[in-house]
Amino acid sequence: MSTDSKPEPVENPEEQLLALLPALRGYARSLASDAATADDLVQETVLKAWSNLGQYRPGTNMRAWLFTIQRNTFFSLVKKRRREVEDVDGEMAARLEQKPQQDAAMEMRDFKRAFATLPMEQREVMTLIAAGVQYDEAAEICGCAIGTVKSRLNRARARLAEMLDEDPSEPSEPEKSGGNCVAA
Amino acid sequence: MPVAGGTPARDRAVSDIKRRQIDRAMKMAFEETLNEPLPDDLARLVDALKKKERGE
Repeated sequence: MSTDSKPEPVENPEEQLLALLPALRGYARSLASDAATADDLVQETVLKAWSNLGQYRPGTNMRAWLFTIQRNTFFSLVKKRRREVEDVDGEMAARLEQKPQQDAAMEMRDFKRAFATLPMEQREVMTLIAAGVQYDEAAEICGCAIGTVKSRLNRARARLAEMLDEDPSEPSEPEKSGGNCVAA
Repeated sequence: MPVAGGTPARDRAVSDIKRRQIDRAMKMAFEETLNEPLPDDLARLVDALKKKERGE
């Protein structure tokens, strides 16, 4: 490859940003939980990051930088939308905080459904780790301690295990009236 | 009595097998997202940014 003694040449930041777009989408899904809001979020994040690329220090972790921007953008969007819509039907709140849904089999659809019921903090940590982000990096992105990341991850796994282990043949009480459906 | 910063017993209850299953499912779900085609809005944005990068 390179005859130079230096490591691989660093892609330019613009290329790096665009290459990380799928990962941004994956992370956005964990924050927003519905695909349309997640894609809005990615769009905002890309625009914001693009116009602030001058602040990115080449050689540092572009993914962590972008994920942090996306996280901050998410909370700004939530605030903005709450003001605009005043959340009349609690729609946004419902999107952000889905009620636990009883489902059992370890199939992808069931998994996604169960995953969507987790609190946002747990969804995001699970997604970051699935994306290959290290604990310390995840802690930096989420603005919390490494122990908190691990604890959220453990709680998420425990909750998913509980939900996915439940027997689907036994309808639970809250579901009989047809509770909140989660868009997987 | 729970200790601050400690791991509650409930958190330790997930078996290694279950944990691996969950982690594998999570990874698959994430990778599924990576392989999804970009929605039109985002694809247009990416095109526009690429053009801008090339100075077009």
